[in-house]
Amino acid sequence: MTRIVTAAMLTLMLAPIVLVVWMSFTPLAYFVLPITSFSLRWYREALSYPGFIDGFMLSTELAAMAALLAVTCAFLAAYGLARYPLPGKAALLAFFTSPLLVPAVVFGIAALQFVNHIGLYNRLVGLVLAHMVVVTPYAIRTLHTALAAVPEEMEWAAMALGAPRLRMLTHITVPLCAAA
Amino acid sequence: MIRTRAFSTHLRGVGFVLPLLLVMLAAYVWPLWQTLLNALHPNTPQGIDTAHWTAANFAHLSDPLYLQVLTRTLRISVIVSAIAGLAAYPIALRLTRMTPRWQPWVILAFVSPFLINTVVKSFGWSLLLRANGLVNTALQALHITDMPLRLMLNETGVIIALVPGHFMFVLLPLWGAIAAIDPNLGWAAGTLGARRWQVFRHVVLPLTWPALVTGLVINFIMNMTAFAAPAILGGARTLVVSVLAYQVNLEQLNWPLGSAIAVALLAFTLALVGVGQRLAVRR
Amino acid sequence: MSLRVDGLHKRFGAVTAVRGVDLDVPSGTFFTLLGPSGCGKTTILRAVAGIYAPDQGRVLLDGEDITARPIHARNIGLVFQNHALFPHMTAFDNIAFGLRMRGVSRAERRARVAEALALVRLEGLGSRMPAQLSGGQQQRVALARALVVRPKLLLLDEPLSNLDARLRDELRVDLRALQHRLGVTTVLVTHDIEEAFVLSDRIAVLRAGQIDQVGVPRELYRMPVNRFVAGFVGPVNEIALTTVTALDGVVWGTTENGGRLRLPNEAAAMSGGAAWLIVRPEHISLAPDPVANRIDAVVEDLVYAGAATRCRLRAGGLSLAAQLDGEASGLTIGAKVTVGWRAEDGVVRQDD
Repeated sequence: MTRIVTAAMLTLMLAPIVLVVWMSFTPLAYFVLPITSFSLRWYREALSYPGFIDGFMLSTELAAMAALLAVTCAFLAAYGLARYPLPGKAALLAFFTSPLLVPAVVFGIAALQFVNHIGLYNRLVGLVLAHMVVVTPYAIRTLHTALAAVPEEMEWAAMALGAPRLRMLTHITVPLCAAA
Repeated sequence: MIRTRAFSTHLRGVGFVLPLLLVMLAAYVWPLWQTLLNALHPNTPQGIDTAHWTAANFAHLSDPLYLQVLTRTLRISVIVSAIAGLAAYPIALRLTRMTPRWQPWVILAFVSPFLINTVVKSFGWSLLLRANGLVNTALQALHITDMPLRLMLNETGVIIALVPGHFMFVLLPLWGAIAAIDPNLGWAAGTLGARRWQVFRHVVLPLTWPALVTGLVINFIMNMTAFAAPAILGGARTLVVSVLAYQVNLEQLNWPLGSAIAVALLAFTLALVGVGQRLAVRR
Repeated sequence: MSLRVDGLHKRFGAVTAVRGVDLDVPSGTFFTLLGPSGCGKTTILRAVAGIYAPDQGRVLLDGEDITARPIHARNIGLVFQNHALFPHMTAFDNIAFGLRMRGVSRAERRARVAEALALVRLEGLGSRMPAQLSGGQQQRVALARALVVRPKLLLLDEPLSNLDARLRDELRVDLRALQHRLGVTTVLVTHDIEEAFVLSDRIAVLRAGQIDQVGVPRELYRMPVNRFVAGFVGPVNEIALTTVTALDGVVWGTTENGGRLRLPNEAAAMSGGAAWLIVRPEHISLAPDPVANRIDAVVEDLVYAGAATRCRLRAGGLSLAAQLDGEASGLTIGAKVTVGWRAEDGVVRQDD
């Protein structure tokens, strides 16, 4: 019985993805089922479609920048939260994780209005900032857990051996939570 | 001496947190705050009238038209969550019995819809569910139906498309909770005379209740706030709250009203989280 | 209710946990499966409980074949090493669970649970949650839970292993008293020799999925069937013998460095071959009487353990462990002594 439910749900999970991938190989300009012949025609067309390349490059740039900045800020914040006695640590952590609760459309509208208002509309900066907010919950959760797992004693040992804080961070702490 | 050192340590700690804090305040809190403010100003053809305040935008939300959108969104969300909740237990139980060879792949399969962009998935569903799509073609070829079924541009299509995307939020916590149950408990109950379904009712269910509730609340919220699937598969006649907000903001350009909808949705979401936390207490 | 197991075989993948085990437990007795970890004793217990289905063999309760019966229909009580109490139920509800499953009325449930709590000396603690109880108390609740349904058979899977030494002793005494009082047929699984000896009427020693010997504690200790059993139930000295010879009604063994030791008379059956002489440390004494085996040795180590002194001796190529009463005053490390043991205190066994 459990097998049937599992199989049914699995189909539901994978169907659209499989179909889209499958369909992308059709040589025809319209959709006809079943697909009997395969072609890379549309891949070629997509690659030579200027809007696609631009859009793709923009998305990649955006993702890379947002990820880099968000992870850096989140790492510093997670480090601060994990190592220093700050009042309201739990509250701060909850605050950084809260974007998960805000519906995408709500934040989207808010960000749009805001960006419009301060004149950053259609500029990369606005997009990056907004994406950073979205990414932060995931980054801070993962990094905070990982940093909590790196024993503080290692850092003290490194500093006792003479490493200035920045060096200690880059040489010891960061590599130890590199996976996170 | 000691006070100064503690203070400077404090300061350094704050320094670490500061960059992220500033970014979040600027790009997250401030926009949301602005949205709330916008919701309280009246709208004019020239733009937002920031000189005046009004509650009219929120009052507008009790219009039957908007209420209909809300009930529709609630209805869809409840159905999707119900399906998720009912399917989660059998699948989670099956997962715990799976060998390590299969398990990671099956989990990946259930997580994949979340990793794939929802527009791509919705597009895939439209290929499957449209009048001449794969499902209808197959059903007709097998002579189960002779007319195409309306599986798209209505609530059914939206429900079908939403189920996979948000399922893992119920499945994974539930699976974790079931896996954490000491297997001896099931055997102990068995020796005391409990049949399989009794073990489920008296041992598994109470012990996994918090995980189930938490997962369902998250799932429900995601259903309520979903945008791409209802937009693509629902069509013009199946408006949900998030699509309505989009239309009001960007098509009608009524920012105050759009903001009011957004604020109302956010308040509703937060209230649900609170309720969920209360309900998730161990039975 | 008597228990019988016939030819039990159980395999897990490529590993055979139990190979051809037969058990016979008369009604009302306390039977123990004793062995090192991995010997299959827990597997046998679980097969009797119905958790594992045997690949081969039968389980018979009072002559009835219950091998195919599901767990919930066997009416067997089972106590786990980690108590396995339902964490979300009070002690009372835990104990009442089996009664609920059987449709016992609420009033009767209350009475019987109170009875069970009194039986394990936990009156008044019924409303506590498992997490609020100590380790010993938790195990008592587990015991009460298993017994309240008046099972035909009580199975105990290393129930005392997770408790500290003092609690273990306490609970052991209670367990013994309980079993005698209720007369329920009980099977215990443990690796603790003292526990097995104190509690059991009969013990089966297991090794690698098979039973090496079944007997009362005395038999296992004084007449172990092989080297493994001998060494498992207590400390031993093992002396290799190159040949055993019987001469004029006396049996002799030759050691590796040419010495001659007198063997018990039943060793005559092994004459001509090589064997092992097994002597327990407590049988080696400092003032052996004339007829005994005598060896000159040097004291290598002395450990005072309260009621006895453990002594390590070196005699030529042999290293012997002796257990001497009390303080063994006058002995120092390096002292030369003569030790010995009576021939009949030795046990001779050949390699299996």
